[in-house]
Amino acid sequence: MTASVPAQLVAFVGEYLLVLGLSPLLLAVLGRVKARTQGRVGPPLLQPYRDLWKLIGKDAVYSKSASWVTRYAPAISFAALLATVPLIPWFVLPSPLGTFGDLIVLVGLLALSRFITALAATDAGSTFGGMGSTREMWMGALAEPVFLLVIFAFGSPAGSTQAGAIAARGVSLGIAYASPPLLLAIVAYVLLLLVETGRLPIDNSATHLELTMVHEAMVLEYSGRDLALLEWGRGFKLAIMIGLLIALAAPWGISTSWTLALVSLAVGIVVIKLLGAHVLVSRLEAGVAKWRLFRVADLTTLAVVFAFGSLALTYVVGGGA
Amino acid sequence: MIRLPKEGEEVPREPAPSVALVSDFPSRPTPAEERRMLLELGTTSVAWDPSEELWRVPVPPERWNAAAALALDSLHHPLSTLFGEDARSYLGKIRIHALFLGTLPSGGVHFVCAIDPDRPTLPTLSTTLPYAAPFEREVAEMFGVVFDGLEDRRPLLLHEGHPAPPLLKGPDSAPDGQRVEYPFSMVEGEGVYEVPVGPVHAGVIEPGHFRFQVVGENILDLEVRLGYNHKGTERLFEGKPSDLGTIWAESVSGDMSIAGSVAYAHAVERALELPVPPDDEILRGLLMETERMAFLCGDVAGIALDVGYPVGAAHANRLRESAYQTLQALTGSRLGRGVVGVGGLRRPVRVSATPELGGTYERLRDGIVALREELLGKSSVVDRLQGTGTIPRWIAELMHFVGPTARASGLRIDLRHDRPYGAYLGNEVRVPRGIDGDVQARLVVKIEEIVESCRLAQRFLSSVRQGVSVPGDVPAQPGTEGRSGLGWVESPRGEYLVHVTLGPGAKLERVHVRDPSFLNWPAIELAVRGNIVPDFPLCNKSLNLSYSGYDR
Repeated sequence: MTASVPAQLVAFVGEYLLVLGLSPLLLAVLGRVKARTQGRVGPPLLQPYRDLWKLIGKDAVYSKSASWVTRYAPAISFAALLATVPLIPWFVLPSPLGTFGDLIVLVGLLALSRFITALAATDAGSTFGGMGSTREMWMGALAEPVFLLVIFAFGSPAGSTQAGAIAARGVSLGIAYASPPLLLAIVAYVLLLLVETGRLPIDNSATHLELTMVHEAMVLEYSGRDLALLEWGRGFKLAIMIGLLIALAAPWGISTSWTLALVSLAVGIVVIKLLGAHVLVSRLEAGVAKWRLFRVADLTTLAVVFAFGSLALTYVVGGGA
Repeated sequence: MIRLPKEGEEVPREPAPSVALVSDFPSRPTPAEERRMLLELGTTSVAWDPSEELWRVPVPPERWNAAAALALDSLHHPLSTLFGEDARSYLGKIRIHALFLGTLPSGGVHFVCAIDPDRPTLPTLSTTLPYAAPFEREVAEMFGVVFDGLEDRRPLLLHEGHPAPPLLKGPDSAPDGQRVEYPFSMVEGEGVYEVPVGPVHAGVIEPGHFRFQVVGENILDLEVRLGYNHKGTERLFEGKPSDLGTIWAESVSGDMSIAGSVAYAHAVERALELPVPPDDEILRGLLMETERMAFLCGDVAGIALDVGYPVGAAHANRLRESAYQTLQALTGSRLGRGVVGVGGLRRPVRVSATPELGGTYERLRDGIVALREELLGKSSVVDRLQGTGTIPRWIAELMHFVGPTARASGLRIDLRHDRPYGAYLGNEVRVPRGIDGDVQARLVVKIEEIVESCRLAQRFLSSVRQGVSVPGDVPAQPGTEGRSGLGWVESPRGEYLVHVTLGPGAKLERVHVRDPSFLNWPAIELAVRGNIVPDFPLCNKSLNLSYSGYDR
């Protein structure tokens, strides 16, 4: 069923409001669950919003040796992340502008965001920025091919690399969608998610030890509005990655009709799913120490194994296109 | 889990290096032989000081190297400290002291060399003894003494030029504002780059500058420059009444306030031959052990945090806090400041007024044992700890590292055991040791030491009687001029030495403080070689070196 253009537009804006508006809250939930496991109370749920508001109100300071890359990188990185939102079915199918690109485009957009941030980190010539960006690009080189493989693992049964098509198949199959290949692909995706979004055991977002950081080292030179964009983008990227996981792994609840009631229900369901997934990620983080840097490769290798297993099963068991 | 060697068991070690190790010579010469050998140095007097358990030997400058060689090679004592003293007002000379304290039970030599203040030169010891260089660099910049043959002539603590050497008596010499040149050693080659870190760090820690030579993520070399915290503490002591000196002594390293003030108090008490009530010594022991628990729990928390395991860090910090709150309840100060005085305690320690004291120590011990199981049972934690920042035993011995660092590398040195003092006289201390000398060994040794501290604290609690004396002022005795005393304490970081020389009226003439970190700082440079850059903070935290104690 296709909807009218105004309805599509409302849904389109709604997606952005949902993801952009909710991502700081999701980060706060994550921080709070983490604090609880450490016996602390944790910051209030609105704290990320306050931080962003504070940063947005401040001017940015630039190093004398910085070029235009430093100035524009936060905007480019954020824009690349923004462009990924319509590629993921959040609460309605077919999602507005969902056919504008497939998941390979999404991987490309995330790579662009990573590339420009890393480039900007080396721009000012500070040592930590350089160290952070070499680490980030190295992780990217490991993660991106695996990301594609994982997407193929999810996409093969549906015969498509479009998230909308994969999710639509899931919704129509119902519980029968949960198959062994899917479970393997989910494991591979979760491993990849930790690398892609810089969570423990890969990167400790709470650390202020300048020699161990990855993401924090890259944004060290930034301040004010630019820092707000980068920090927001960080939470945003986590929401996107988790949102994609939800759409691919557990699409049930996404509305296939455009009636207001069903769509609102679907919005509620996706919010609950996002919150639940963030809580799960923080529980996962609490039980593990940060790995030695070069063991990131172990994690991505493991993801490759699971993704291959999923693909192989798809073709052996059948159901592949 | 690493295996701790049992009592009397041989600890395996690296292939024998070309240097002689103290432990290769467990048998020492008899006292009569020692006296004979020391007399051969051509000195006028060789005196055994029974309260300090060492020989005091004046040495002429031309025999300086021979004296050091004798102490090292024949008596098997490592160099513990080397410092200067401006004795121009009463001897017309600058005196250089070198203390060689045995790592084996008791014994030691205190060499004193008087040199001409107009031509203050002395041969260097650093050609045979690598870790003597920082001592000599400090004496050189603080007293204007020139060490013949000392290769590294860069200043150690001073970052600006001074019109007159700062520790020579005279009006205070303000720095002239001219930054001194400080060339770092560099590694050259394709792909080698330099990473400068600090003195201002991203976290709230003390200032220090680290210069890494790196290929990729691998550390080829590290050089540390300190001195940013130099406060001239040793000069601040001078001219003050000796009973007030604890104020400065406890602020040399703030996290070891009690250990620092006890070492100072012992030094003055030995110089003045002041008796200390046995109960006061027991209470000092109780406070020192509580401080050690808090300190070491902090180390465990730091290691857990730096491997990125904040849950473990939260537990360790909770235990640390309980130790600090115990100190607060006992003394009214979380850091135990202003409690230890010369001749006893300044304030009563509220042992009976603190309920459940024994239970607190018990819970702390149980907590840290449980945490040990949790940390070492977690593969992702253990993977970060094992083989990281390894200091082999022979290096620890060669560089005379002290404290938990040395013990984790397999050396059994602990002043509480080797040269018992105060509360530890008659109270046997078990000294835990590691084998591998890596971060995990240091973590395990520290946890074992907390357990041992809890046992000692319980023991002190059971033997202390109530009604503790509070000392008044130290009586201004006649004839205190020229008296000196040495205080030694096994602080949480290791061997802590304070040497005090008194002037007339029991006023302080010269105070030298040798924080354990002064010996241990090179350990970080040696430990990180071959490790990767992101593991540096972990190595650093496991060694937990004091910037303030080094810089003073």
